[in-house]
Amino acid sequence: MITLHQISKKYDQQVVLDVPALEIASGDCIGLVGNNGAGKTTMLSVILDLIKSNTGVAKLRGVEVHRSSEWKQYTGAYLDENFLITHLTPWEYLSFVGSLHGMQPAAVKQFIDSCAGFFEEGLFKRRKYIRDLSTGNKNKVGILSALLQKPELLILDEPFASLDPTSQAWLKKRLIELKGQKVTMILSSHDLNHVTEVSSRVILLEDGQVSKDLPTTQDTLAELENYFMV
Amino acid sequence: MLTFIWHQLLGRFRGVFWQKNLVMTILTAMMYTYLVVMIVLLGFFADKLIAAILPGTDVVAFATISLFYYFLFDLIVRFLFQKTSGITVQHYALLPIPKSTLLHFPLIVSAMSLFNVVPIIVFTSFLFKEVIHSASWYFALSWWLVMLLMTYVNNYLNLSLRYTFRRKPVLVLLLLGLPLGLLIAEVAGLTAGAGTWQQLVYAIGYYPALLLVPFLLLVAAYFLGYRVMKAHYYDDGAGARSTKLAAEEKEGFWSFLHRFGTVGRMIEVEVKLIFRNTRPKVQFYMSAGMIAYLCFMVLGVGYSDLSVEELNDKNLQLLGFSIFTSSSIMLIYGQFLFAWESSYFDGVLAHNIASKDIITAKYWLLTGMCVLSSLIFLPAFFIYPLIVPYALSATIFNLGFSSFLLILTGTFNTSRIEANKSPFMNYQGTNLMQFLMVFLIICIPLGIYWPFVEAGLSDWGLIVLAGIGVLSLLLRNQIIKLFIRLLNLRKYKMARGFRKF
Repeated sequence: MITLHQISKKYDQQVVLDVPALEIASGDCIGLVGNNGAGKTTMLSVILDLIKSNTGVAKLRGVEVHRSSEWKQYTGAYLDENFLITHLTPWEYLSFVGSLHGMQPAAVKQFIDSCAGFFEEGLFKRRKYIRDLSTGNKNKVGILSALLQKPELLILDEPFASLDPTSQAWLKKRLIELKGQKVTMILSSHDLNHVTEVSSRVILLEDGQVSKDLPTTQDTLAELENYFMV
Repeated sequence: MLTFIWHQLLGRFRGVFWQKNLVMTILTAMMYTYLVVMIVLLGFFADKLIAAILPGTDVVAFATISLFYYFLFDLIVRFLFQKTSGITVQHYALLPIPKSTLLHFPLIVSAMSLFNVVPIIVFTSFLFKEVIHSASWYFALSWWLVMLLMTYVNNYLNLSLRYTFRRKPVLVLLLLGLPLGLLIAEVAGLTAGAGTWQQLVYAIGYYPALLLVPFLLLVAAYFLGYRVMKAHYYDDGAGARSTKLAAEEKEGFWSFLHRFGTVGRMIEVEVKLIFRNTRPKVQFYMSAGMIAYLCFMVLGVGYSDLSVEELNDKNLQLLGFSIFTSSSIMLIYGQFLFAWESSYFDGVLAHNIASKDIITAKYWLLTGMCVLSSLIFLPAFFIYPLIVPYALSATIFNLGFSSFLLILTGTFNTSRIEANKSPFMNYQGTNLMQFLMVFLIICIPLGIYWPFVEAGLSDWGLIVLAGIGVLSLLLRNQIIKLFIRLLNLRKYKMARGFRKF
């Protein structure tokens, strides 16, 4: 599904990402971990063609991401607030994203209703602009927009950040369901518990390089905690 | 309180814009100096302007009568464009500072607004140039103090009105209609509001103790504003907004655009951006107002006394005027094309939106703006039929050529813009590209037209310009393909510049 080949990215002579080779198969659920500045968001941005790498290519289904926008049809992603159209209401934003995938308003409403446990009741009723929402609610809108079109590839950057416990539990459950449906996922997170519970494979980045790439087992959490211990 | 004011000033002068670009800082400082000089001169030569409009009239009396309507219209302009600095208060809300201090701060700081400073400069210039010579010094001082106090009465009244009219938008019609209605009634001889006002001002001038009246008005306006702010301390404005958004949703307001697929949706998002964010909204209204203003000043005042032959000799000016008025809205918005979407540009790139749809949506949006500018310009055609060939040629040229030029230069915008900040003294996102863009849009057509004028073939020049516009329209799809390639090359730099970290 995803191939990174000789990817490197520098800012002002400092290498922020250096991945000689990385393959993510269809149906893989990747937990991407690393300290701040490790290169997680940069890697995700390269895959989503938001950043042009200095060397190498990123391919989705064998097609270089910068040569075609076909990958956008099966990819749902939410990295941060820079994805949100903040002068729209949550309903308007999801309706807009849904329309990009041919979804009618009724289908968008049905999706929202099916996610009722993820957000508080007023989020889609109060008609506030996204910019006036709390950080947590903004994140929820972003995550919902990524899940909306039933993507075959889902990319979320720190989705559990700023979420309340109920929403975290809901999201974890939904992601595990999607894993069961063989949706390819890349989830970056600082929460090692969530990562090891949801993902089937953990990639650890340090200083822009892949430090560890291991399948998730019962010992993975302990191994990661040990690694990050000061 | 002094600390708050100092913080406000620091925030203004430590803005990213001032620190980033020395050339722009110097250019902007020069522009400010020029503006201040112009404002001083406006007050200084107001007597000559009045004498030119109404020869032989008492300048001070006429100015005083006019200021009655100025203050009424000033209230409308402030209502539409003046924002309070209340938002800054939130940074201090958690500190051990009395709430009353937090409420007085934006009220006091609003006194430094340009809406107050500019008229005071004009009044002061007029005072020293004219008023002080027409009567005693205490009359002149009282006159000036009345104008100063009324300026600040408007400043604080505006605050109360904003909160009131936000809840009852239909009352805005009353606010807008009242001064116009009074003016018409006065001209028809039905009322004498301005005349009464003039007598009151003169009475204060001769009996300065009566200054207590406008002073008490100011105190009342200030404390009315204070009470309104106190009552709305926790108000985030969402209540009034939800009424408006409900209206949009219920009526299927945007369903017309939806039939155009992703392009229509993108246009919808961008039109909402314009009207739901302060900076593009204010610039939109100002650019529309500028068309009407330019039509009045250039055609109504500048060219009204010229004969047909004399008018024909001013081809270049008429074309330049037509180019600017027919592109005004498009130009003022388009100079920050793509940058307006800074806050969600990553989303535009990552969502299922083809580059073709991005460019096509921009093209049709700018086309719509050009058409709108021309419609505002339309009444001038009936009053000055001579302008019609220039306006038609300019409009077609702008539709075909200038719109693409704006898309081209838009891909070189890489500075983030916070669209919901006030545009006044806000130069975020401004760089030399904007100046270059305006220069090109005005100068390219003039440069093409000029040789034809020199050769005595001005009509052919207009036809050629229109022809260039038509050709660009016919080659629209091919030009859009080129811009798709350009966008795909430039998008990484744009995204990096727009991204908020």
